[in-house]
Amino acid sequence: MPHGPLDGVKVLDLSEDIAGSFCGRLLADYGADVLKLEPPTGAALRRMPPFFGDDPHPEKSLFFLAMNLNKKGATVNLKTGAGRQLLKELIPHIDVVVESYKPGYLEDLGLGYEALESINPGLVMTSITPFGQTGPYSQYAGEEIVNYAMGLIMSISGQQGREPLKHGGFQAQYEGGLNGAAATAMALFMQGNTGEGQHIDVSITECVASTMMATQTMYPFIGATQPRRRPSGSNFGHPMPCEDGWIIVQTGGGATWETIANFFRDPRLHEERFTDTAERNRNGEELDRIVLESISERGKWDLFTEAANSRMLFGLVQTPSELAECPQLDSRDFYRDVDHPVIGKIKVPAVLFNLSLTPYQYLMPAPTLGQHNREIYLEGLGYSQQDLVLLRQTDSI
Amino acid sequence: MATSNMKTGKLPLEGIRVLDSTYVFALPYAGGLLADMGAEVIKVEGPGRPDVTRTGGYSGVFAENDLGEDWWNRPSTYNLIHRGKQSITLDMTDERGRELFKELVMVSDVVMENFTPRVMRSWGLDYPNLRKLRPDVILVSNTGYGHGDGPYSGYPAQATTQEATHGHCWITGYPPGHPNEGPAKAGASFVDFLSTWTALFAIGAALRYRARTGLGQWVDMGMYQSGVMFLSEYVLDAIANGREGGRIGNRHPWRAPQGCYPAAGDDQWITLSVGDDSQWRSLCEVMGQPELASDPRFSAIGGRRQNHDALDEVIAAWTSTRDRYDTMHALQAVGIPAGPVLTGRDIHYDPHFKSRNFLERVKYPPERQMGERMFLSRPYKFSKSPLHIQGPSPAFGGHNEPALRELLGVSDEAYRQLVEDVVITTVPTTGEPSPVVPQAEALERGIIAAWDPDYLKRLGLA
Repeated sequence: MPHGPLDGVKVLDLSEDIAGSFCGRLLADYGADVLKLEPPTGAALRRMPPFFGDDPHPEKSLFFLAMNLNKKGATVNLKTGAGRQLLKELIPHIDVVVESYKPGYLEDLGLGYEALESINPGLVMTSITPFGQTGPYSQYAGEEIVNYAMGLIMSISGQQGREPLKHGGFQAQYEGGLNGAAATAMALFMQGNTGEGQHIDVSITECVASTMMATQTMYPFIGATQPRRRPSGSNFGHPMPCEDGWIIVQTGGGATWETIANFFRDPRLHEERFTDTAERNRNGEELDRIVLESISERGKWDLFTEAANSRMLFGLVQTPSELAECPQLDSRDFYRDVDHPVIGKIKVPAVLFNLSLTPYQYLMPAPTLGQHNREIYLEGLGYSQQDLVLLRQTDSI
Repeated sequence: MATSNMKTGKLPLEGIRVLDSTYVFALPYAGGLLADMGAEVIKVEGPGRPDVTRTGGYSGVFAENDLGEDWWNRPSTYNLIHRGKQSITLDMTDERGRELFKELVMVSDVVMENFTPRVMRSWGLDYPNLRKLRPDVILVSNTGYGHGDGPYSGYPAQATTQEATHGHCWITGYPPGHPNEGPAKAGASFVDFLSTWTALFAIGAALRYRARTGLGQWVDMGMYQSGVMFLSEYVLDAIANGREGGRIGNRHPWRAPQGCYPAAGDDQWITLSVGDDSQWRSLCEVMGQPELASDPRFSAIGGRRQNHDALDEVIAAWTSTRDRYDTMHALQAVGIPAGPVLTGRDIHYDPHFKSRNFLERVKYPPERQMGERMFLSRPYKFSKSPLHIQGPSPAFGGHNEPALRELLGVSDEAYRQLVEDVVITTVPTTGEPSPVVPQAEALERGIIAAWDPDYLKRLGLA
């Protein structure tokens, strides 16, 4: 049985960060053979929290674990001539390089796209960086908050009169990884048809901005800028506190206003100042008071089920531990049990989407540092045990 | 047979036909991006079921705030998402509409849909049935929670409410102890786009597999899975360490200081993020306060995190009188990540986005009365196959004739009957335009933050 739709694709993942690693992992999840190539000191992601048991051991970063499932791992030091030689010897055997170094770094080492493509015509190289390979900010340093600020989303997040608000976590980095995987899959399809490779230039900031459909188009359509949320007015579409947490409700979908009014069990909601859409917007503050009172003694799970039965668009704010124990995710086999040589057994978010013929397969945990050096260099490239010792002595692997 | 209508060309998806029977944002936007890559994308809507990006609150704004003669073709969001597609209408509640849909399936490589599982089954358009029509078809389904027998599989869902259920709101918001604390949403309809990009990845991979084996398959996406995947480290922290994450506002889990600070001007902001001690010393130098570097409250990361509030005051005092771009350049020159909060207006004038042509100009034919507009392109560039938006969004039902008569060979008589019975149309039979608010009034009411009356001239669109 093939491992996935990308069965047979061979990938070198040179990335040390979240975005490139996530890209490589998605390729691995759907069938590609992915080799993580790290510097001898380990990828930067190995030093990122959270750690298993809060122990900052290089093999215990849960972030590294999650982003590197299903990959093999070897080390190479691109700062040494012997290390660069190793990479060049691997290139003829592979289809895709994923990397996230500062633009120009690999070129300066003689390992840019043109140099590698001359070794292997048809090579696809996917570079994922904060601002892309070109343009005045290409050499600028990125961080999640900066990607968010320059990707427009902060300008409409948070409230008017306060500072713009960043989305929690590392969404921008994941977005860069997912777009990198999508572009790589398209390039691989084309490569299969024409034999032609590509250098793909992914900008993480542009990934964030790509979600800003209404925000961007408002300017060339009416010359206006979208604001952040007003501090008062209707909370519909925003989290509202209930007895034991927060819920969120939207109009639309399969539910009429009458259904929604019944759901909140207050006769005032059937009055015309709420049944009429425009009137409802004008009476947002009063609407909030009624709704918040109505849900103040009702639990989020009961509300969630009842709303679904009424065909309402409704969500509840779940916490990470609730997500970890979610029956819906279990019904989709979203989590997979991983047995890691240092961490031990742990379940990990695994399946991005389901495929009928070549489904997701869990094959192996994230690699330990240099775990597959022997397999790659001895068996793969034909180096001798003595060569490996020498490469280690010169800090090349 | 798998490659019968495939020819290689300059764009990755040349020769691939996509039947796009999807609504709202997630898959329709994927369809627009597939068109950018060279696919022929046919968008199908019901005469009485126009896409919600044409009607109501999802449509954005109308060009020049003018409903024109065909308001349903003029909304901003509709025009961004559906660029480069063809548009046909088919009443799927009519037997003939479903039959024509099936005929289109037979000549399509990829079919995308986001009906509820029940609806596709009842129309005989679920994967087992579509396969009978086109054995190598790639079917892409997107639902809120995914198909199957899970407890929420039948729940109605859209991105706004799912952002809470996915856990994103739990980690987003002004931090506890500050005004307006509590879970919050970020941006607009965020998790839709995770499905957009997941679909592109799945389609690219499935097309490659089909090219090698002749076999199609069913891509079954639940938006919930994408959303939770993007919170992997929080879920693992809960599983391994029993920690529930939470909201830290604009701060970083381990770097400090990090924040969004006021800049000179009205509602102008600059973000910056300092990691190690050497970056901290550089920040003090750039701020002209080198003595601060050795202040025991701030000299080490632990102190900076502990005294973050006090540090924020120092930084804000410095940033608030400076131009946001000047601050970015000064900090980036010494290697500190920094950048201004850009708005929907700013991105049209920023030199970096300009130099990368991130916003592309699209010309409309004269009868559309839309002139030229600028749209978000794609967040990636291909070195050997330069990608471009292939054309404007189509008018509602604008390709009924070529798609039905030329591609499927519907006879003159049958076509006339379809028009007469409103199985196809070019004017939606239901739906209202979203309310138009004049810009000056919108500004006063806080619906918009700013307005440039001369925007067309400034952008070179007039």
